[in-house]
Amino acid sequence: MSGSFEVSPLKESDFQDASRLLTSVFGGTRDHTMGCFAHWWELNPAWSSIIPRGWFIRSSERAPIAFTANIPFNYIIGGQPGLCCATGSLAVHSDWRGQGLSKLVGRAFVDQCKPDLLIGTDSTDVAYKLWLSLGMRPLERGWPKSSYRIVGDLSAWDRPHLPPSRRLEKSLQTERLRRKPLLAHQIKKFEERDTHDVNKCRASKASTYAVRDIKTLNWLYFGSKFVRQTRAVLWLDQGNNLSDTQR
Amino acid sequence: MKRSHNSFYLLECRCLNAEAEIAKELLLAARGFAERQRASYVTVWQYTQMIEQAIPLTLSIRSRHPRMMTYGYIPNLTAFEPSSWETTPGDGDVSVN
Repeated sequence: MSGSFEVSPLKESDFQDASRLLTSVFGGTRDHTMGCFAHWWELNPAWSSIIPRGWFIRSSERAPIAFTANIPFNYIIGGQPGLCCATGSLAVHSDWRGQGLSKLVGRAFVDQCKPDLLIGTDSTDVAYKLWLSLGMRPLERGWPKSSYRIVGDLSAWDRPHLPPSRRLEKSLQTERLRRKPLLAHQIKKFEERDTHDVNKCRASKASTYAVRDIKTLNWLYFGSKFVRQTRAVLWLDQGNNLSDTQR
Repeated sequence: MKRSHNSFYLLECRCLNAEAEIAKELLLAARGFAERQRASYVTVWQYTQMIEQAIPLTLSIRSRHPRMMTYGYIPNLTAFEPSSWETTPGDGDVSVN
C-alpha cells in the first residue's frame, strides 16, 4: 500500500502545507509552526541548503499527509567535528494512518547520507518503536528517574504579599554571602569576544557532545521570538569578562 | 533555562572544565534569578555527573521525573562511543515552545 506514495524532501514552497499538517496533528498555531521551521533551518547555523529539511508526502490530490523533520547540529564525535541530525515532529494525517506512511518518511531520515550521527530523542512510545524498527539503537543510559526542584526562598512563600523590592534585596544578600566574588547575570546575546570563554565551558568530559559555540547558543536561545520569550541564559564569572557589560 | 508557567526548567548547564563547584554557584544564581522572576522553583534533571554533584540538596525537593527520556541513534563514524556521549535533555531542545 505504501509503495504508491512518493516521499520528497521538504521544500520552502511546502511550508504552508506542512504547517497545516502539523497543526492538525499537534495543535498550536500556524504562526508557531512556521516559526519552528525558520528556527530549525534558515536560522540554524548548522543548516545549509544541501541538508534536507525533512521529508514530506502528499496524497494524489496534493494534500499534505505525512512529514518528519531533519534538524542538523554541529557535534563533536569522538573528539572530531561532525554533523548530527535530529528528527522531530513525525506526523501522519489522521485520515491516512495505518498505511505505513510514518515508516516511509522515517526511512528517508535514516537513509540520508550526509550526517555522522542520527538521533531521535524524547519520542512518543509509538514513534520510538518506529525508530527502533528502522534501525536506531536505544541508548541504555540508566537515566535518573527523579529530578530536583531547587526552590526559592521558602520563608518568602509564607509572606506572599512581600514587596518585590524586599524579596530582591533578600536574594541579593544571600548571593553576597557566598565565598567567591562571582557575578551572575542574565545575558541577551553572546558576542564574538566571548568565544574563548564559551568554548571552555562543558557539562562533562565526554568525547562526544553537541557543539555550543556562540553561533549555536545565539540560535538556540535568542534566535527567534519564540525562544526569546521563554528562554533565560545566565552567565557566571569573576567580573572580568562577560560581566563587564550587561546585555 | 526554559520558563514554564511558575517555574524554570534547566535545559543545559556548562562550566569551566565541567567543575561541579562552579555549576553549584550557577544553580544558586539560577534560583535567585527564578525568584526575582516570581517563579517558584527551578527543575533540574541531573543529566551529567557535574550537575548531579552540583544540586544544592538542602534547597531542593526531589520529585519524580514526569516522563522518561527516550534516545535512539544511528552512528556513522567508528569513533563514536555511546558510553562517552554527553546527552542532554532533548539534546539541545530544538522545540521553540
